[in-house]
Amino acid sequence: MNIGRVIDIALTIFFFLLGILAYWGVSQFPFDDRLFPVTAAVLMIVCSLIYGVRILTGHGDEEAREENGVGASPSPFSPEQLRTVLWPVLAVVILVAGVLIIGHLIAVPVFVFAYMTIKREPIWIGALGAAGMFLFIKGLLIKIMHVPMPHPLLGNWLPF
Amino acid sequence: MQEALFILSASWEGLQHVFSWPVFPFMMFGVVAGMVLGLIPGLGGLIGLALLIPFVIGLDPIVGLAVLLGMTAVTTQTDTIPAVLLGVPGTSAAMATALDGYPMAKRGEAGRALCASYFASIFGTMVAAVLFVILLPVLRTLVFALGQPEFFMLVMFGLLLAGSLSGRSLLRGLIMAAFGLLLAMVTLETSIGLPRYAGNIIYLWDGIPLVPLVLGLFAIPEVIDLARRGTSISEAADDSRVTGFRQGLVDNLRNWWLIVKASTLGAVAGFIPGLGGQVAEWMAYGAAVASDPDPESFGKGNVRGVIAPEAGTAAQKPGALIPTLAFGIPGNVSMAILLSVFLIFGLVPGPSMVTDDLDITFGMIWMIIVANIAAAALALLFQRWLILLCYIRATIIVPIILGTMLVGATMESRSFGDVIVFAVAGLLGYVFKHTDWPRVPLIMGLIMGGLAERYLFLSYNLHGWGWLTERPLVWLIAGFIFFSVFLPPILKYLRRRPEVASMGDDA
Repeated sequence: MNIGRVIDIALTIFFFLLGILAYWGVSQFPFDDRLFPVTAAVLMIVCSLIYGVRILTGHGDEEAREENGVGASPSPFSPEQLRTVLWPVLAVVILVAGVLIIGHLIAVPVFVFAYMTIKREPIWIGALGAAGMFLFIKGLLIKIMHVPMPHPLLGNWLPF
Repeated sequence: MQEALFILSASWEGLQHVFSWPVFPFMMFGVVAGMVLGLIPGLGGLIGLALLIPFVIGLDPIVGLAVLLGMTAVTTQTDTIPAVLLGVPGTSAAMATALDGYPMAKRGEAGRALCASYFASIFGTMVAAVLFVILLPVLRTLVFALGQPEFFMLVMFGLLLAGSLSGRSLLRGLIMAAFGLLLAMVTLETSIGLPRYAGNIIYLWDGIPLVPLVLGLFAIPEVIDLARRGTSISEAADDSRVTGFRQGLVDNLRNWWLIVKASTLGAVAGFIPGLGGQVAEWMAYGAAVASDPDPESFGKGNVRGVIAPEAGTAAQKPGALIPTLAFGIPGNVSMAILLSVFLIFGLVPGPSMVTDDLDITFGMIWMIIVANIAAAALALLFQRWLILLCYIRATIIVPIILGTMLVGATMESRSFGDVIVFAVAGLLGYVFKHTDWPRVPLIMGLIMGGLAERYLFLSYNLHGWGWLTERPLVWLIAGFIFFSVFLPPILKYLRRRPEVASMGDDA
């Protein structure tokens, strides 16, 4: 079975279950507060049911792909392409985790330097990029514009 | 005749205010500040207002207003630059522009896309100003004729227009719109004091923030693909010397009717309290797609997909200024803050702002127009260097874009919840993008969901269900919805049926 079809089915099941959860989640609320979410949830349940049937009978995914012409380009989720996706996704995850743990001010410049160095850019370009990001956050946002950054999990451990 | 002369004379006086000393240089200071704020993803007019208000309080009122209006007028103009060049919308009001502007940049037409957007912004504000002059005599009656039911119908109009952007796979569009509506329902329900879909996560009690969600859904997939390709953003040969000035202007002149339509929708969206730049731009984008003979070309680098949202967003600003000044009803959050500044400066919003003090009102509208022109001129001056961003290697630009986006994503609520929303939305956005699940209806559902619920709640409580049958304006808007959203696909279907039948006969 093609990977796009598997993802389609998974997303449809996800939306169907989400619709049921959303419907059930407001069942105790008064009418006024329930009206709109219930409408949205019912719309989601009904549409994902119909769409699920269409996928299983072989109509759903072809319809959309035909329209966007995406069928022609290789899916990034195919086994050959998947490896090329994993590296950038991992980079995003590492950056997010770094920011959560040590904060923007250090995590972002370190990430910029590390990414460029791993991708074989000259060290001085990486250092320049990291310094630029540090100045952007510390100089422009924090010092000049007084935009506070959220506290990381490790707290404000920097001396500056 | 006498009224027309009065309006023209007030307009002339307003223009003189703008170019008087020291109003103009202070306005230019605001313009430069607004341009910088628009360029940085996540920042925008609101942060700019918060930063500048303390500095303008001691100034002469008209000078202070020049700084603030100059700044707010141009943030949505320069937010196009990262949207087109990097696929990262500078503010959430530049999402639609990124959909077609970024593919154009990838084709080597960044200059054309940027120039088209600058001119569309200028023309958009001008059309809104002309609309204001034309509608001035009936404005007061119009505002009081619109109640909660009409506002609800207008919100539904915007939502359905955006929902129609899902193309032939309508079911996926509806599922995503419903998903967006449900995300908009995540909040602390203040009427009963209970969290709805938010559990005990206090961060979610204020609702899901738009900026990290938008950056994640639309920008992360582009950055991941850029990192995969490993090339520069532009796949065409280096065209950084081509500014695209003339082509951008020609594109605008060729699409003058689209600009009028998009600007009118933008001005109306600005006029209605609660709707903002995002709604204006999607309504305009939806109108462009719905009226185009080749709707499939949108999202792949159609210049009309740049012109329409830019004109709509630009027109939204003068549109939002009118109810703020004339009736003290702010059209959006920026206008609510400006309203407080007006009061600090001793300007009392009310009918006098469209009668005795009409010159001041016109002065403000002129400020928005002149600020847009000045920002376009400045952006053109630096465009040659800005376009070079498209030719930087992916290994350099990717980590810088990712870092800047992540900083921008936390600007809205300054909470680490934003980082999580950004990352989750990014991964979902990537899956949605490559499996053709439309992301636009999701965002529109999120933007419109809260508003639609509020207006529906108020309509029901004030009028019962009678508002559905008793109010002629509700029917009028319902007619608009039918003709602009439902009729085109029905006609298309009816046109295709005979073709299919004849093909069947041939077979």
